[in-house]
Amino acid sequence: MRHLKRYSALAKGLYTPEGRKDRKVVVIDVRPSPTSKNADIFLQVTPGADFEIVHVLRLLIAGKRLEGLEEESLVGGVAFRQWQELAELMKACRYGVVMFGIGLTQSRGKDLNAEELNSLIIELNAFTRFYAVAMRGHGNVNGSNQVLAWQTGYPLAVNFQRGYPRFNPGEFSVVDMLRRKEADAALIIATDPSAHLPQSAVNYLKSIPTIYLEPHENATTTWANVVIPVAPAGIGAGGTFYRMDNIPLQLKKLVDFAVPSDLEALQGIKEEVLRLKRGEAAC
Amino acid sequence: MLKIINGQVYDPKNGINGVSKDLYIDGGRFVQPVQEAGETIDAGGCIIMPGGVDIHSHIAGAKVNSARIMCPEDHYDHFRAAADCTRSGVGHTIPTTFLTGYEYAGLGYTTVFEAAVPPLEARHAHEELEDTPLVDTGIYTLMGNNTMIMKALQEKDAAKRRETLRSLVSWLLASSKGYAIKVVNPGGVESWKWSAGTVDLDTPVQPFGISSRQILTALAETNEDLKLPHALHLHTNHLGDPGNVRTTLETMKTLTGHRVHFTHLQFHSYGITPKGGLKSAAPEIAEFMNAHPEFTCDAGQIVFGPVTTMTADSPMQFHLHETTGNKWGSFDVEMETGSGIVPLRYRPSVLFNASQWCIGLELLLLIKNPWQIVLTTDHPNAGPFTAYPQIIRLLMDADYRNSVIETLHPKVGHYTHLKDLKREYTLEEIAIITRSGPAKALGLSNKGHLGPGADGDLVIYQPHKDKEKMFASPVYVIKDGRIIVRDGIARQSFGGKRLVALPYGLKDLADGSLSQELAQDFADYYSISLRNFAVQYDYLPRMEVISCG
Amino acid sequence: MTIIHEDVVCAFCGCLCDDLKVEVEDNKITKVNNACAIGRNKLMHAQTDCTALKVNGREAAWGEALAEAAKILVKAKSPLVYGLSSTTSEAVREAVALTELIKGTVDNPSSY
Repeated sequence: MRHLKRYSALAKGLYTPEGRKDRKVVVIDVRPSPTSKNADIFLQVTPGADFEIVHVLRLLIAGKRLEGLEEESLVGGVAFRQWQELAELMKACRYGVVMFGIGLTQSRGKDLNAEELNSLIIELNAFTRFYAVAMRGHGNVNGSNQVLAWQTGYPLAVNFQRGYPRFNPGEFSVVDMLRRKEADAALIIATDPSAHLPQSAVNYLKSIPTIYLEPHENATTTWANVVIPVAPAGIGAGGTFYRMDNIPLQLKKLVDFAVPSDLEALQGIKEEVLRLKRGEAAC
Repeated sequence: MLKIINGQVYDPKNGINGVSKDLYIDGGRFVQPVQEAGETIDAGGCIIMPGGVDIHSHIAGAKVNSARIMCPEDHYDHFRAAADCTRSGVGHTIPTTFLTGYEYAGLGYTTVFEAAVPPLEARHAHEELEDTPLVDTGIYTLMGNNTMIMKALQEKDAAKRRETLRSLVSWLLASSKGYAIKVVNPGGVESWKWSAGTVDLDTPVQPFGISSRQILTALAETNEDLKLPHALHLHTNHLGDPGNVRTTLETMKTLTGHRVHFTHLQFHSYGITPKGGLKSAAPEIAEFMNAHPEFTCDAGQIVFGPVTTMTADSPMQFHLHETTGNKWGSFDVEMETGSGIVPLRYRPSVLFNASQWCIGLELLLLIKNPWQIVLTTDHPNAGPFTAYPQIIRLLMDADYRNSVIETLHPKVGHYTHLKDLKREYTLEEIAIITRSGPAKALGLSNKGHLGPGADGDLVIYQPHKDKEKMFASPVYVIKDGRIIVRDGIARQSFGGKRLVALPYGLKDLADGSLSQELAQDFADYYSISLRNFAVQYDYLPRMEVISCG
Repeated sequence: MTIIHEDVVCAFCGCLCDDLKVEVEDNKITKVNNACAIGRNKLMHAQTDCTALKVNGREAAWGEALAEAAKILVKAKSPLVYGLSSTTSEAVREAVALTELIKGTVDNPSSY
């Protein structure tokens, strides 16, 4: 919630000493929000048109003629003229950043929308410097992508059935695995599946043995087979988190909890697994 | 206690050149001969060298990991399953951390430096290095486009400027837990962030009007003031541009008399044809190097096949994306630097690539003193480090080299000199360019040799006429006196040391601090709090501090 | 005794604001400055509503829970390790090691 103040619209920098006055803020959203109220330009678009909008911007940036589109023709519910103006604004700015969230990545088109946006950003760099930052929700969801990438080569949806990492979103991604009932046990750490997954996926999880590492009571702690309380990261346990723009920070323990950290609980489980699999660890 | 007997030992630092000699390791270090019983390896008929030292490689940190995410196609066909004592991994040119450690160890390398880390992202590099087993590691800290450094260079009073830089560079190194000062395209990255053009040595760079020449001379001086173990580690302006030899030589002249390491020099030894094409300028560069023993360099040898280019040189990467049309990632690291990633493939049938390949080998063959040039592929930019055995064969076997030249673009002979070079490296010279030389250039007195007190790292090779086969699969690799590799395969997985330089003048790594003015700049312009900047000791549980001076 | 922690990193969202001031009195968080409403709320309520260790709905001991968890994971043919969005990278490293050991699948909320 402090994004605008610390990192984006209001932040003062070496080259933007006046903060908000030194930059133009454009908000594209399906409905007005506190952010859009403070924008220089707010483009209220129709849902599901993200790919089309970004594609039209790409064509405009590339200087293509768009047959059949008049100034007042609607693209994603907004007049074509306004997209023309936005394209010019993006090309002419000194340094631009697009911040995008799950509205883009989880609506119709999903990863194709993100791909299209990345192409737009790349093409804008022929004119000026432009970047895109994915707005990551949970504190260290980026960190889990980072660790998975350096240990397995892939940021998510990794399967070890053959002893080495394989990657296939759609096959090894959690929602798909649960929908196809391909998991026969689950270990869930520091995320509430009841609050995030589709109901059918949660219902299936309830039918398989589930282990849950979580600091606080929630919907999932009522039904998980094994509930292991842990100290919340950054409050009762220290460690590293990766900010949405990949900056790693060390979080310190602020208070003592009577329970161990996620790390200690996972180490404990791993030791038990090793014991069951082959006696004491060999190395 | 481990005894290695009857091996033919190559230990150039100690003047031992292929002599049969018994070696003794105790407590992780080489010791004088003792009678004590212990495990013995009979290395009769085998060749022994110290553990390899890679002076310049990109193996850990933000840009490497972004490349892994960007290029899953690099990984699918290259994998290693988990075994009893080792973890699984994937990746050809950008292997995962565990696989990186195992593959380096599998080639007999026991020390590797990650060559480009922004201070703000140093914590990430150290986290990955914790997961990179079997090799001792360190990082070079990027400073050539650091806004605070450029601001400090505005100071007109030379003595004051020198003092400010001393404390600022000490603080950057100590905060990032770095080993050396790294400079990449000085001024050029910041200029690109302003959408301004490329920079020459005297181009003033916004916002402070500081030039590449000012950054270079000041940092070379600071490097010496701080008595750092390694030279200023420099990637000069205009990487990869035909005609860049002019800039490279001008940079060398500017820095004459200073301790400088010119990295991936192949990419900076390009002449230009009247039509703007590439021709070799390796002879001019080698001549300069031969006359300047204060300089060292590494090759950055091209390897044909796929690579993943990644560097803090974001304008160069953007240019590479524009010319190849390949996918591109680019990152802006706030006040410090930028970076870019572009995967590509070097092809022998492409004249430009074939010439690049020849230029690297020309440098390796024309620079006379092997202590001045190190074998690298600027992994994974010019090629993966796993190609080192192939390059060693190219250096040791002129017939093989000439047979490869035959397979290149037919016109490559017009623009390069490689086919005229007859030199073949000896085993002693290979030992120098892969371990003893880089250890010396890095100021690591415990590395790159087998004398008493040195780290107990050595490699046992079975001699083979095909030197690629010989170097690709050591019979044994020993690290800190422990057998980690048999027949080219890593069988162990434990963490190596982290090598960190303590700049002269600091009591310890927590001793440095920013001046009041720069601390205010940090508070105003960085996106994190000063207190959260320095990499905590938690990230370096096996740290070895190399004191300076 | 009151301890004041400065420049605390807020673990709630991907912004990781690292300028919070947190007061702790007798091991209890009593005051949070500089945070947004959600971040402050998260910190102020961190020490309440804590879960209890349970195996199949009844309270259990630590060792028993670990043994039961290991038994489930070793027995499974296709175990799924999921979440990891609000824990440390040190814990994620361990979770990946465990997934490799049980030949499972690991995923986080960025796949949906």
